[in-house]
Amino acid sequence: MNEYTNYPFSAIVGQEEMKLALILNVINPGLSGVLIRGEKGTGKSTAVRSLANILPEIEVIEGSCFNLDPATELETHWQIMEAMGHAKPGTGERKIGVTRRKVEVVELPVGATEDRVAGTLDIEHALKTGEKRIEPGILAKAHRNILYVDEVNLLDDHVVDIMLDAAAMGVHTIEREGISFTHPSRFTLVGTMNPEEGDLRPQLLDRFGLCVVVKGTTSIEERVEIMKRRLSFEKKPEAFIEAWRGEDEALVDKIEHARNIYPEVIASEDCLKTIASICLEAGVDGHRADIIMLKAAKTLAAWYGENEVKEGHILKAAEFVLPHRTRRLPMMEMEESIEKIIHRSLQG
Amino acid sequence: MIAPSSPLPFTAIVGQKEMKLALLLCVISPGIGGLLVRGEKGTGKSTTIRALRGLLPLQSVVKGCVFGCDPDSPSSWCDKCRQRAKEGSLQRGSRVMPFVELPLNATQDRVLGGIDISKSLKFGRPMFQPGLLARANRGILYIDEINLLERHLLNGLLDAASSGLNKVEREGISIVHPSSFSIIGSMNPEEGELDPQILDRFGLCVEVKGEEDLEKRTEILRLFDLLDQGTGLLPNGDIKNKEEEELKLKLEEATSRLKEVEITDDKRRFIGELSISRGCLSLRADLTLERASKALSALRGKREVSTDEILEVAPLVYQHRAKAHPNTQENGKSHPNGDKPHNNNGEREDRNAPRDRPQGPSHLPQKEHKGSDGHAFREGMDEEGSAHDGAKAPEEKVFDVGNPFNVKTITGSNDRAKRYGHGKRTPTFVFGGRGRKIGPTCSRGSYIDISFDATLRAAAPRQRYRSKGKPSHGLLIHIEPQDLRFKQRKGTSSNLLVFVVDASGSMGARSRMVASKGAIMSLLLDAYKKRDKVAMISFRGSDAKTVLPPTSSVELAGRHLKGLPTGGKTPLSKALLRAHTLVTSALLKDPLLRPIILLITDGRANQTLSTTLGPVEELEVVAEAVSRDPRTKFIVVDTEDALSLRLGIPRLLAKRLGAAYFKIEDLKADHLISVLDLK
Repeated sequence: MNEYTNYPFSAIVGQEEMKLALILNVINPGLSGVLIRGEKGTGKSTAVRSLANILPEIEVIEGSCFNLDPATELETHWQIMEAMGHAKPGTGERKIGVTRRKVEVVELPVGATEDRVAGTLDIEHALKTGEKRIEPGILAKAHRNILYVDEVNLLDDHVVDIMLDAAAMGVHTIEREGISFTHPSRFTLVGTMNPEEGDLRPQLLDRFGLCVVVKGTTSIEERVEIMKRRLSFEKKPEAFIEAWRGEDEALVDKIEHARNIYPEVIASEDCLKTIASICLEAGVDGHRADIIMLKAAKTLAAWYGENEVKEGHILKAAEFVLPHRTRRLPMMEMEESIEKIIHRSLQG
Repeated sequence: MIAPSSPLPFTAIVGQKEMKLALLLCVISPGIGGLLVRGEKGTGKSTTIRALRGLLPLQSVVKGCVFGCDPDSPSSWCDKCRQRAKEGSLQRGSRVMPFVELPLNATQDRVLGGIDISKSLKFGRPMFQPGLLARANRGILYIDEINLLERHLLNGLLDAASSGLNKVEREGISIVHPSSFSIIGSMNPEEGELDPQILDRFGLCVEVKGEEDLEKRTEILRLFDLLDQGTGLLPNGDIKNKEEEELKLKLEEATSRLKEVEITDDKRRFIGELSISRGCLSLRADLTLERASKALSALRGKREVSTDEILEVAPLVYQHRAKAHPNTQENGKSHPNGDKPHNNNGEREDRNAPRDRPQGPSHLPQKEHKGSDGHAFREGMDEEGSAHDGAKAPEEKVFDVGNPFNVKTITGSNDRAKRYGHGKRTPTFVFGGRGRKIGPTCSRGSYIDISFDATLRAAAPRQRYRSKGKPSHGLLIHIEPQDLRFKQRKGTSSNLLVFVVDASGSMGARSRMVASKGAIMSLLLDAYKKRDKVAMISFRGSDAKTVLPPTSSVELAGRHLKGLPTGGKTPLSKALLRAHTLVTSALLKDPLLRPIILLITDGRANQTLSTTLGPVEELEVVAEAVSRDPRTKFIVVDTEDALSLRLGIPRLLAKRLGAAYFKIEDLKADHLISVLDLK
């Protein structure tokens, strides 16, 4: 994906919820991603692709096809190099180069096959040299990046299972076609879907940290503004991007700031209790909702430049965390609004 | 090596006592036969299981043996170790008990073992590359989402687990090696169940669920808040680490003490009686219970098993087995998850009796219904409340959806036709790049889908004499046509379930509609698990309408179902024709689709298409006509209730259609015994 042809993130009109959910995930990759549900033509894909403009830079080990972190994954790097036959075990001086590059949006196409996603035997190498070598798949490329799955509900079942496995563990293990290989694969999962075309399995829903529902705007002014901006972008993309550069950069700075203060954000005992009681009241399965809600509330606090979680942060976080998790028969609509649940739990 | 690890040490995990105990028992005594952990998503199943890595004891092994043979147990040695012993070159070493994880993407050659391409090239003969089963020997094999694993892989695994041997007969290799391991599986029953015969092969089983106590939940959050801060500190800091060390030591002791633990015949008899009283006739249960209680005694430092230990582990053993017993079915309604493990003998009966219901989403705790204002499912057929809830007009009512249940398995017959679909209900061989690759084959389909790895494996051993005197094209390997292997994929052709729902006035009586909607909802949920397509036609008054064209969104179908009004006459024959038209056009689009028409009606047809025939005669004519296409299967669900006069039209209709006939009550599955195969 070429960053110069992406629509500027800050030029997106409205859709504040979706933008906020995406930003939160950029600040804190620990939020395990966001699922964007909405009809076609509501700007879901545009927003995700334009994320590329506001992503922060990270340090990576030079020449590593796994985007490994020089600070924490040095050992892993050498293990992988050995496993791939690029380095000899435990000999000589080991030096690495470090480069900086932006976090990327890696796309997983709907038609992707199992072997491309998981990684497989490098056929060319095997034919030429008679040696087995792994050809890393999309899950390798996605490490420390954003993995974007458009129409995630249409993905093949077993591809979804493989992806989920990696998303849950942060590590991907390949045991196929004569290859046995493990590499880190921690990514922020961003999925978009149109619920009309079939829903996701609850298991997959639960793996997305946050969920937002987008609707086309009904305000005439907004619609006109969207058209105007889109047309001027299509006419002269460079000029348009240049015009919005300032805003995008301001956003990047704000994100950077939030990233820096996040470790200092404190959640009081009362906050934890509030979160737990909201989740109990909502009747969620398991504990993932609690944990994500806590992280989301902390991230929100950081985004607003505060160093303590307040009730408002929790309530906002609940709106992102609960919609796709409330316990129900997998296919039934959610009958109660999130507000009601929150209200009840705060009273109780 | 890099491995998926748990963010928490084992001892820091809050609650989940039963699962933790079961895991420890598996480490102490591999003979127990493994453990299955069932539970909702996000309850810490895999976190806890992976945390076991930190506790694994050391074991002594034969130095240099790929299978990690036990130097003290010559009967379990691999061929190489036997040879080593003969030559006197057997040396002792030690290693941490292996914990091997089997990812869902695993292919057969990696699990069971297969040809090693590089080595075979070098030596010019088939060389064996050990798979995961070799690595897991004398250790633990963990499979997350075990219910999603390919059946043929699972069977191979369980065979090895029970025999302690892995036999590889493929690709020109014939080898047997020791492979005795504890298999630990975790699964979310929402995603589909394991077959009962597979369930029985797991020694122990635990159900886990999230904490419902506010304090405990907060405690868990606090733990994760600390983790999130990344200081590496846990609550009570080093104390936890000390606990972890202590537990590790205890485990090591227990493992070495296990052989000395004894059990008297009296206690054995007690076990036998326990099994019989549970209605559990599988002898595996007795054996497992004996071994598990021995392991628990070893953990507690005892030399002899007492009733306490037996009773404590009994729930883990009977959890998944007692289900099959017919006598326990009456208690089907109570929820098995609620109670905690305890040692009290008296209460035990109650605890195990109700476990006959499968853990589908259909019996969520009753509690959740209370808060939703009149929308959620009523308990059973609560007539008064439901019949008046959504009333719009006198003769048009919207009924609630009755309580859903698990339905019997409805499958099409398995055939060998090649399809391109990807549902889950009816297994079929798939060519054309979709479906999960299940293995290589020599026969090619019309679609070229070369399995390179298998081709290379086939070609590798022959390279030595092939490479002479032939141009190489820059490649090291010469591949000849006879080496080519193609991918054989197994998918499941998708079914199209057409629900033809009677919404006429007669269905409103005696809350038939509530029960029917409940039944349809159950079938829809089942359709979701099997990834079927669904469509819905409703008929009342003078018309039959396609409420929902074929879609894979079961949610949409559920919504339509909920809002389906009732009232008016019964144009049954028209509905049949409409369903037929819908199926025919769907078949034109996708000739390999397998349509199943589900007719849900009380059969009181009173609206005809023409004026020449009576409603019932006309129905018979139409039924005969639409049933001529052999691709479509029919199922008639009779909603006539026993209390009113039965006219028996649905049964007649089923006969004319060649359909399977059910009463609503019959649909409820006991999920173990009732497999309906529509052949």
